Amino acid sequence: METKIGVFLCNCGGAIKNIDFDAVVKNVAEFPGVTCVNLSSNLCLEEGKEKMISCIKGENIEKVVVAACSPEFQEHIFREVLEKAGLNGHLLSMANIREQCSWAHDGDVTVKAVELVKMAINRVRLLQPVEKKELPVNREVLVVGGGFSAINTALQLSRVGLRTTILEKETALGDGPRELESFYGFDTGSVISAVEGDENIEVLTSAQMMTVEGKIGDFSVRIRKNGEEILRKYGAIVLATGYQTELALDSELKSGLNIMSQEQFCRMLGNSSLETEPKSIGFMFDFSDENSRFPTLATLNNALTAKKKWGSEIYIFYKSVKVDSEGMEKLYQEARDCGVVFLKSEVPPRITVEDGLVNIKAKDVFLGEDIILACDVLVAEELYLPAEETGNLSSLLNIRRDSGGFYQDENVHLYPVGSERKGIFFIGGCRGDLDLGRVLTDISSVVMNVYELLSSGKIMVEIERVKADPQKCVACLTCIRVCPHGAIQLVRVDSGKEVAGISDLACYACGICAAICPAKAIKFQGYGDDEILAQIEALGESLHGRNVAFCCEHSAYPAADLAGKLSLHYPENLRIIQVPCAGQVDVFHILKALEKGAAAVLVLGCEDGACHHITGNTRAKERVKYCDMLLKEVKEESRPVAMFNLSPNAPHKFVRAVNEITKRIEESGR
Amino acid sequence: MAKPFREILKTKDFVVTAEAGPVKGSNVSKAIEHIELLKDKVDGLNVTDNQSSVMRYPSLGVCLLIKEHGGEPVLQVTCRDRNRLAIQADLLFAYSRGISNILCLTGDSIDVGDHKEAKQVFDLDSVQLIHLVHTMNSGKDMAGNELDGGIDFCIGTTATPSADPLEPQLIKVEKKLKAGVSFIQTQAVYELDELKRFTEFVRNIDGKVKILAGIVPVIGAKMAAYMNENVPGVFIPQHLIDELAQAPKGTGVAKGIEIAARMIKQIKEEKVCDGVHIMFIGREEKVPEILEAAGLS
Amino acid sequence: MIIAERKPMEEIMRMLAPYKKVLVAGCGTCVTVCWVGGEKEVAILASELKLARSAEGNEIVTLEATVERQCEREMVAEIKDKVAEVEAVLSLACGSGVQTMAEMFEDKPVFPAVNTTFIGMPEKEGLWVEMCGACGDCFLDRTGGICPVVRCAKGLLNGPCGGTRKGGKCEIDPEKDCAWVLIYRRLEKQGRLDLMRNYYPPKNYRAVKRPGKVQAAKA
Repeated sequence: METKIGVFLCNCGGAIKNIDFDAVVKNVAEFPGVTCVNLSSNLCLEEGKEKMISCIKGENIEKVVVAACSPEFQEHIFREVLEKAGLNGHLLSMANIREQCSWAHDGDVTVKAVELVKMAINRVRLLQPVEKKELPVNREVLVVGGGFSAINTALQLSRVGLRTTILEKETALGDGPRELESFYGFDTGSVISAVEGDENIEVLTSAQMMTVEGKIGDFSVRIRKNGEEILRKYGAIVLATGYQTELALDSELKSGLNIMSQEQFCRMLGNSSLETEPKSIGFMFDFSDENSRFPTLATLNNALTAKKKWGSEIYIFYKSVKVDSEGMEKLYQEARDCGVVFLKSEVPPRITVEDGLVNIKAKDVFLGEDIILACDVLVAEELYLPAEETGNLSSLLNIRRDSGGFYQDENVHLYPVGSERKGIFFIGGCRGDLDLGRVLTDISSVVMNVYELLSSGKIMVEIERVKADPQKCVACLTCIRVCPHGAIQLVRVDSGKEVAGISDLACYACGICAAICPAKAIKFQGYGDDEILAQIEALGESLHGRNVAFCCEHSAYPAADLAGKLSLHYPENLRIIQVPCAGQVDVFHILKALEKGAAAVLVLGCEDGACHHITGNTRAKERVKYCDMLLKEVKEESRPVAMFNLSPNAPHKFVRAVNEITKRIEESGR
Repeated sequence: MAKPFREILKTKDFVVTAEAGPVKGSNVSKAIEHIELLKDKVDGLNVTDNQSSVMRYPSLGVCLLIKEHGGEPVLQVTCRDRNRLAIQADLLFAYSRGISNILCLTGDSIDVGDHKEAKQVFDLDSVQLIHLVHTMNSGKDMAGNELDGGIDFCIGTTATPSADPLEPQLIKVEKKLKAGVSFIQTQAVYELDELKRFTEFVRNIDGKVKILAGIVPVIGAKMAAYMNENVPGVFIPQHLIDELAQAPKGTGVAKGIEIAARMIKQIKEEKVCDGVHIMFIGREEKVPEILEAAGLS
Repeated sequence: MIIAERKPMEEIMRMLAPYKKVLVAGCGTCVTVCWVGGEKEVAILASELKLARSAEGNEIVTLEATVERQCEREMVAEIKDKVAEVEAVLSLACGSGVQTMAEMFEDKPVFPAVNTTFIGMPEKEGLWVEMCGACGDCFLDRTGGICPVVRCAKGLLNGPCGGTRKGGKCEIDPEKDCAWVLIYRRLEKQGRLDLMRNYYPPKNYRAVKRPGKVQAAKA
């Protein structure tokens, strides 16, 4: 029995002028399964929606196509309409006949409009309902680390009613660097007391994470404390493991009583039983690392404190002083007014130790001459590095780090505090962020994110939107290794066999797993191989004159919409297939499009380093490269396959890409 | 008639051997030239066996020629091209024609040669080959059968003092020493300290084996750099590369010979080991110059 | 598991040149796992063939089928109807699968689309390395679990050879580790270097007399 499909067209209040809707209606009504075709001028308004609902109910429509504006705009509205009409919201396919058709091209676009509707009809036929369900989640949070960021995060989580465990590997909390407490007016001591007295917070010291399994809402963590192993469950994990420093000096110089780090200097400042106060102190910063806000702050603060406390002569060697944080300019001015001497030089000063004094030699930029100073103490420049366990934790949790070894991956979509896995967050020094003011803001960000996820104790998810068929899965482990969000694990099914299990809670529905599965075992509702093939085949013979563009919903699809809105026109023979991520486009899809007759295939995804699913655009690039190579091998270079990267607000890039391909086809004389 | 190598090893203070590389073809005139040039200047003359996995006139063939011309041949046998039957048969033949010195080697891989699709045999490795010769020396073949007419080879092998990492190599050298060898001809050495350390290691296990340091003249800074990069087990230190770089154009070969001779002199004077093995493949006619410059002629 | 690699397109095209209707047959076991012959690759290869032959002006019709294990007669029998419809079969299975297919359908030419290369495992996603040579005389107890027969380029039992490159890389391929250096390190870690000091006599190369045959001892 043919599925009953209802097609609803909208001319957007008459704004769509270059489509002959009568012709479209007539054409579309002929397609198999199409039970009714309606034209409205205001489908998204109450009146239009009511009409849709009564039509669906009246004609026993089973699946719906809406041909109107961009789904980016209104898809959720129409899904609700379907729900109201008693249909699952996923049984909807939209044809973008406005932004990507009417507005994108000059002249009459009826032919294209009909083809777009055809594609949507072919696709909708294959759509299956996707249910939503609330899954329970564990409301407890694990905070790893015991310094400033960790304890403040735990306190704030407790304040919003979430029970938290602080996991600290040392024997006590607050063991980390405390250089800037006085500047920020923090008192770690009292915060620690608050934490220890808080009944929502459990503190585990001398404890370390051994293994982590599971996903958001259900992390199973094995902790080793004092030689014993404890198994705990948490809904979310926050890493606040801090950083470490290394003096940026030659190894022979590092161990010297009078050459020290900021932290050691702080302790010296706070040492009430100090025997001899240093008469002259040298500081160095901004030579090794231009990202020097924190060292600058620490230096200014400590220099000023030392000046006030001991009245010593203070010399600060710097490359440049950047005062781009609140209060810093004032601090700098105060330091200068107090008589702290600032000496600018292009290259790091040469340091030697002689007769118990530290000799600092630098060429002053303004004097143009070498300055040699002998100081009692040198507070040397430090390299800020990730804490020792950062790498290990990163492997345990299956999360990426940036090129400096700090969390997180240098992907802008993860900033400020997120990871590529739901439910795992980073805060503070372990992210390379040492500005305590900013960290406090970020803590609010983390708390908000966690609260949103866990506070109600359940999360609404789509059930089995992406699923590995246990019958077809050969447990090759590819999807498990490849999932950028760590959402897939090996699970045992009833038959006892181990297969890939995709977590509905942790899945981002990017489709990268579905694309790469060598057994075609993963079914991705709405974007599976069949659905994509259906859209390609819908064009039938007319595919021969068409270019197919797989457009990522985060980048190219909205860029194409924007091109339409700005009337940036491009050739009319482009047929766009929306995909959740460029990484979901496989060699299979590209070749099928070509096999069925497409003149060219474009794959468009996010800019390098900005893929919402981290590796999607890179994978797409490799696959396009493979297809390109193959086409050359079988001497089909006249049918180009190309990959383009762009951001959603770059409609010009989109148009340029389409034009480039069109030009290549023309030049190859096909 | 040359003195048997086996005896020279026992009695002479400083043993000198050299290497002759066969040509690709049946034209033995060049081989005979080299034999005539070197036979009286060295204590033993090695002949390489399809060196660098390039097919050439067989080692056995040139060894016979050496014998015919009154020299003392050392038959090099690799495990790359022949299985255990072929090797045993070859040894019977060689001995029957008066060849009684063998150098046991594993052999370069097929990939570095000119028949890149050939099957690598490696039925045996160099240690197993040493054991094999001992077995045959005692009158039996590998399968335990009595031989009607046995053999009696003086057995030698190679070693790589500059291997990196060194320990696994040394374990193998130890195995070879335990299997029983009368002489070791090392791969090219350019650093005396390295050679001294190697010699000490060997002496701790076997005080009687004769160690002949491998000398391969380097004729240019570029060649040196190339060898460092591409020839496994060879390490030419920077100061020698600099010395070569400073040599005026066209004097590369002379400089290489000078450096080689200098090394040989040092080894002899400091009694670092028992002799040298000179490898100047393609330039065998220059070997006498090295010997002269080193004061060995 | 068995690792294979797709043959060059040119070679496959040459094999199929005389045929106009071909079954592209995949295998759901080893070659699926190594991304070379599963249902996905069958679909891709079928597309590639159609594109290539279309470009030549010599169209080809392809059918597709993937069997759970192509080296099982009963499983292969399941696709006999599809085989009956075609002129030739292009199998993406390993050599064992191809030959089983060929035996089951003796009247149809069966061609191999992949080169079976070795028994191996994934070192990381998408990269498979050789582990076992099926020599029939397993030596792994003596080398700390590292096979010298296939992971040493010369198959030495008393390695290493003199050709180890700087840093413990193989004479033949500087990208590959010298197996004997790996063995040394492994045994050192376990405090069992005495194993490496033993002399190992020549290998029994006739442990498996080709063609090999293994009869299970019990029913």
